[in-house]
Amino acid sequence: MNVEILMVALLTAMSTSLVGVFLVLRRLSMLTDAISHTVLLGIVIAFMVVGDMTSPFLVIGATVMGVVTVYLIEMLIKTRRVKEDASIGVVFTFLFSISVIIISTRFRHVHLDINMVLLGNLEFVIFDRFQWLFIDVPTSLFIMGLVFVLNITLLGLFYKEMKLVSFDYALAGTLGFSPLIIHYVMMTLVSLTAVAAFNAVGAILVIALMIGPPITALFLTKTLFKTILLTMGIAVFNSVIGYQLSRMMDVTISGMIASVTLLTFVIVMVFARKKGLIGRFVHLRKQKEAIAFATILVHIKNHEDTETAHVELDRETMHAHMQWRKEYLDKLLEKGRKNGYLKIDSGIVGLTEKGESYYRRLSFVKRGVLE
Amino acid sequence: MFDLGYTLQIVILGTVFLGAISGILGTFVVLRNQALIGDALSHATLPGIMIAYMLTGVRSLQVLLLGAFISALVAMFALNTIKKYTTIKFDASMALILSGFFGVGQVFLSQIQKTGGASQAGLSRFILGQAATMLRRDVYFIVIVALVVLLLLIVFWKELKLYIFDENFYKASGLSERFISGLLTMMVTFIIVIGIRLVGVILMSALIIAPPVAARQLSNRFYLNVGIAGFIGAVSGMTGTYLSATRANLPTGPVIALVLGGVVLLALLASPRNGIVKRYVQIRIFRSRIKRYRKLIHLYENPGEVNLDSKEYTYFINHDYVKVEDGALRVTSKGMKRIRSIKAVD
Repeated sequence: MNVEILMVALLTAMSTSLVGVFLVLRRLSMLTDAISHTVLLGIVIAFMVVGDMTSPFLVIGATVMGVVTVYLIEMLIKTRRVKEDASIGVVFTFLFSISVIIISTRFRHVHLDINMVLLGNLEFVIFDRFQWLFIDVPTSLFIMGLVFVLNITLLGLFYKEMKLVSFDYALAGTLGFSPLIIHYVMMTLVSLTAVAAFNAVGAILVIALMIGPPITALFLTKTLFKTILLTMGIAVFNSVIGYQLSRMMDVTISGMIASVTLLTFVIVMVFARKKGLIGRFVHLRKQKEAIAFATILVHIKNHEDTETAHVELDRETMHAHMQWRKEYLDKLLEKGRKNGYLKIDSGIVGLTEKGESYYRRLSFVKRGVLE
Repeated sequence: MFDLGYTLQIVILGTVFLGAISGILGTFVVLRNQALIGDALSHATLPGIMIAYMLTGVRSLQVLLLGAFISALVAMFALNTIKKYTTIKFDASMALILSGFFGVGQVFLSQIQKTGGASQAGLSRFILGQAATMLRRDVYFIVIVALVVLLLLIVFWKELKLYIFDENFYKASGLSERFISGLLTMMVTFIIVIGIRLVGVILMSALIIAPPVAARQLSNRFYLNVGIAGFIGAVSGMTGTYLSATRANLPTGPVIALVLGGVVLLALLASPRNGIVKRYVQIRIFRSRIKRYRKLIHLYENPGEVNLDSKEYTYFINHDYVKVEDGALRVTSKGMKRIRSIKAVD
């Protein structure tokens, strides 16, 4: 186990998912897709100007390009001629193809391989080292550490503003917080984080790291602060498990972390106690049964003490009048009798005292909908 | 030299058909506001391709594409389940499915690269596509799929159109929603799957999104939109392939995407219907006219409030826009015409 690689993976996962929480809340998830692809053009252009793959200007150029992408997309939406998602699709494919063309025609000899850019290469981050005074760490670790600290600091300082802008953009404007500035500060952070994560996980897998942990966390909690904490926890969990699995099977680390992220999401989605699929199905079934039972009560109230009561409420013929399946009705009647809501006198179904009071408490009866 | 020409012809045939059919189908997708689904699905094909290769060990395009197809359907099913039963927003689930599936594909790819021999080399081509190595057989496959999809579109034209423009009315008419949305998804997946070999998973979405966006600027009629999008797709496919063949190392997919981007930009700016340039010029003329004729409009909107001896109206009187009648200033018919032409722009 290589601690340095794991550290890079952890810092990358935590930095990306931290900004991811706000992206998800503001429904900007697919912007990540655009940004992470177009920063490549920034890197390429900066490289053409500087001519050095290790220059910090590459990071700056790429970050600027990410923000420019967001600006272009928003400009296109503002013309009101192109819808939001179509704008994203048009802008990022255009910019991305420019960078691919430049790379494949001009830089075939340089170490700027498309596959590397798309997929990243966590395995090799330890060979590119940052040395200063007595410090000797992988460059990626140093950069990721800086970005993580920056993200934490900025989000900590502007937590209130970010929260406000995320949940009520208009209100933030009315209160004088300039949501636009906060929006662009956030987009700069997203862009910078995507660029920093580039080396390690590449353009496509960074999306999973940004979006996966937050939407997994959203199944489990409701408050923003808890969501952030949980997101970080899930990000750490995914990276550690992904790293271990990839070492055991000797496959790509970044791909494995993204796979584990997807898997964690699926598991939580199915099993989350309240919002998970199983929970939802159980809830929907219960709801359906409650409505069916209420319908039976209404049917009984409509027909009791009338001339047709002996056929409408007869245990054997009732299902035909309600147009239900007999087995289903029998099951519900039995359940109602067992719980003391219904009584069956010589084959005729009626309400007990408990059933009467339950009926009166039904919301639509209370509101007088039936009268 | 002859050989190169022949290869190019074959590849152009493929990209023209692909461009046309993805433009046509894209119109339906973009109008449903699901433009980015193509992006998600094309990335999600990757694990299917890898698994198909691992299971069969052959690099036959048809087998790999079957894997891609199944994988994209699984992704679509996951997206629909998340949308229907959870509170997660659609774009967020799309982002995760896109990237997560891609990651799974990468894991399998690295597994194959570790164990496989020379034959695995072609697999990573699916990421950025490689048109130049297309075989004649592969191109015929594309043509056939394109024609089948076109036929389906023609047969279900009415239903699809209704579904896209008024989903509720479609359902109320007693038609099956599951059928039509399934059909649409199926066709999109088909097109993506045949397209990834040519332009790659990343730029496939450009082929689906860009032609309809450009066509939308040029017409308001649905069937014209479909036709124009198909035409733009075909022409861009041809131009892009031709341009990429003029220089060595120029990848086909990105060049096509670049051409498409240029077409969109051109359509946005120069559309005779509602282009940005036209609108800009209109607004400039409107502003300068307002400046020049604001006194005239003032007189028209507040008749009788203007003094007869107001010096400001000498210009208009001299040019026949205003005349003196019964001791008051009146807008002439020439003046009315001018006012109407100014107001029409607003």
